[in-house]
Amino acid sequence: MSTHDFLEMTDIRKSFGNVPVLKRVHFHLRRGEVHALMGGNGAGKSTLMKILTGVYQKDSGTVLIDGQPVDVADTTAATRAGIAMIFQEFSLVPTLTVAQNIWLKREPRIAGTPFIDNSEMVRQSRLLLQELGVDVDPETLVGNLSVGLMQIVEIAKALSKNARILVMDEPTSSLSEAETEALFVLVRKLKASGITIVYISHRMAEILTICDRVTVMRDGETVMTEPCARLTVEEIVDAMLGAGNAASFEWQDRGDRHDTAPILQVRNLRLATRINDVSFDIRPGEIVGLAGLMGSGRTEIAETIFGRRPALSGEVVFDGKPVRGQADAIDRGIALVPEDRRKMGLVLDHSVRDNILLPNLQRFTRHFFVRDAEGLQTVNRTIRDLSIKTDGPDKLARLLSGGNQQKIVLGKWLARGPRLLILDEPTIGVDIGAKSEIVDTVRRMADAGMAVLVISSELEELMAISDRILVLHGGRISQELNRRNVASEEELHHAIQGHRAQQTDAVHA
Amino acid sequence: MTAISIGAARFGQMRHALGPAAIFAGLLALVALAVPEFLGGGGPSIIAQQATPILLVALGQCVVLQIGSIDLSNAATGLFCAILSALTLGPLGVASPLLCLAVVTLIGVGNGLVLVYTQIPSFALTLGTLGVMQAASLVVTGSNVVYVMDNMDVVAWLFAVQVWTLPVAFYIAVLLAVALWAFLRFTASGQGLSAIGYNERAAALSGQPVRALKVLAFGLSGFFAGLAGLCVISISGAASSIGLGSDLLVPSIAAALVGGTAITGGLCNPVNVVFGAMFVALIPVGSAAVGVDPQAQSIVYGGVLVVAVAATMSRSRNAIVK
Repeated sequence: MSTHDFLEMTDIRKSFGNVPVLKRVHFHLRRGEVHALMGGNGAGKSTLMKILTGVYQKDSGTVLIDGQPVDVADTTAATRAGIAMIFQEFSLVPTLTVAQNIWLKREPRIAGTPFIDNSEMVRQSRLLLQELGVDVDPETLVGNLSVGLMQIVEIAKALSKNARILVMDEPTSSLSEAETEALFVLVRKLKASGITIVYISHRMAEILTICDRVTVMRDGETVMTEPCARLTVEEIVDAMLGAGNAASFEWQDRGDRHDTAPILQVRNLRLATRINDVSFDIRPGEIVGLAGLMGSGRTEIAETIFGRRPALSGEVVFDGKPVRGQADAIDRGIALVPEDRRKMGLVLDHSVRDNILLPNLQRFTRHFFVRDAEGLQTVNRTIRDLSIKTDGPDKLARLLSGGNQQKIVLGKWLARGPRLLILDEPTIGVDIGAKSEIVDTVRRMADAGMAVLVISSELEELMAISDRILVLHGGRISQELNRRNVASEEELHHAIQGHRAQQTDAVHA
Repeated sequence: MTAISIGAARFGQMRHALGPAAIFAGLLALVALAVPEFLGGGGPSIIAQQATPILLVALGQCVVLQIGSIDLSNAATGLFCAILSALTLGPLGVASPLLCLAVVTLIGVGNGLVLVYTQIPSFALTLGTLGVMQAASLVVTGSNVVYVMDNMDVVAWLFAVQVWTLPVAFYIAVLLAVALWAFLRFTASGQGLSAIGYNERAAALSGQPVRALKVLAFGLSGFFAGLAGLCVISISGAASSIGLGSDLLVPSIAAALVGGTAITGGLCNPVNVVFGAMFVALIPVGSAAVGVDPQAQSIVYGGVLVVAVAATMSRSRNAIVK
């Protein structure tokens, strides 16, 4: 018996119709470890986790917990076996309190009556939250909590059901730096108390910080399970991609462009939200990174440049003239890839074709009607140039993976040949393969003269792609760093937190 | 996952494309079996006549549904158009229907403008407009029936002239449905309307003129309702606030829904709305023909509608329905 791991999923296979999604998966967890599960979109991570949590049924293979076979027939069975999933999109009810959410449908009753014992429910929740070391009043409405705290309530809810295995799917994707730190503290605490955690993330740095072991999946198979201590980022990426093609994430010195006149000039911008006095320039062909904490007003700056948000004072000058509204911005060649592609970037129920054509319809309109054939050529070219993986142009955008969806959003604007491209968190939830393809594409377009502004919370990404990095702090550009002079992610991290980096270029007045 | 969703999507698409025609044919066959003389005995002509005003109001409605809104006022606006043209046909002649159409189109545009500038939900806004239009009809007519005194020939031909036993107005309405289909499918504005219905923010961020398109949708709703009003005049030669054409709202929404229009927005095929309208018109005629007690007809009507919408609506299993 002692030879068994805590959880053993052995030789799991699963097909949907004739398409094998999991071919031969072995996934073993040791008790009390934090185990990273990695892989590109479509590698089979979420299918495997859905089998573990009883959402899907495996076609063949065995699941053992503590050496005993377990039949995870449905989600209730999974809960009984002590398996819980912390969802990326939270499954909490915002209009109920923390305590009500934790005990939803399992509320303690006043003995002998059908009435809910509210004080008992609150008391138990308080104990649970204290154990987790978080200071949340169980009687607060969940809707008033930050995303980070909501996640902690989710975890508390899982623990209240005696979960022994927690599956966390991209837990930090919408957390701030500080919240991420707090989550890591909690994860370590859970681990120390013997809880086993499956940690799904695309963020390498996090994985190496918090995880004990990593399993990498590719094309429906587990290709590697190793202790993190023995691995480098490159080795993990190689395992995910299956070949040595992670070159795009290395920074390339693209030289300076001091001699070209700026195409975008932002002057003394003041916005209703947080932005007090922001000025910067971008030159054609330049890739400029905009770094700052979540909520520091980066997105608002992007929306103002794109003409969607009026400025209290200051101005945005593009190609010598002020930007007057969004229609003007688009007409003159500004494009915005927004932060949330599902809510703002795509019409999910439209086809790939219709999404790519949406900002380009006027161009293909002759005598009132859109020329389908001409449009289709552009669509096909976009699909090819960005290597969007789809069965065809008429597939619904909803059915594509995150990386391919993001390529559609990028592609629909690139089809217009923009002169300034604004990317707001372009690679959230995008797998490493698609990520490097997106970076490649952006570089190629910049080499051809397009100016680029990249907003990102992933310092790794900013470090990889930017020629210059603007640091937004306290409502202004606190520092402007030439990428060449930034030695490490660490240094950039400090700058964002409000410390002065040692080497700084002149800051705009 | 992919294989299943593709298979389901294909099936869903087919059901969405052919469902309304099939369900109309099914009901027609049922009626024809029960009452064999229905098809030969002027049945189709009656159905076409009943369906035409319903179809016209439904065409306007489906454009508004396309952007994820609803227009509860359009049928009442259509009746107002009928009353207005009954009053003015005598003195103005040919100019009267044109003028009345312009007025109701502007009423629709007004709805749209209020909607985009005040952001009142369309349901509440058009419920208000519905009340206003009903009262306006009462006031203008003094609660009486308004008879067309002169120049009836300007509109009479719409239903007097028949081609292959069906009134010419029916053919015109079908042609308009096809034109509307082409507009929605093959123009930049049509694509924009659909994008708004599915995801307004994404449409706006892709440079779609969201406000203008919404105003356009409500304007079209007023215009098509006006055409329905002209049909009322053509059929009866008179208009009143409680007469023919005062009960078009529910049938027209039903026609749009049976025609596969998604009430949540983004999805509509005007050609299928033609079948939806014929289906809706067939229910009372058909149920009378097979001998359902007139007092019980609404039960049949309601039941059949629910079944028809369930059979033709395209929806995913887990979608949230409001």
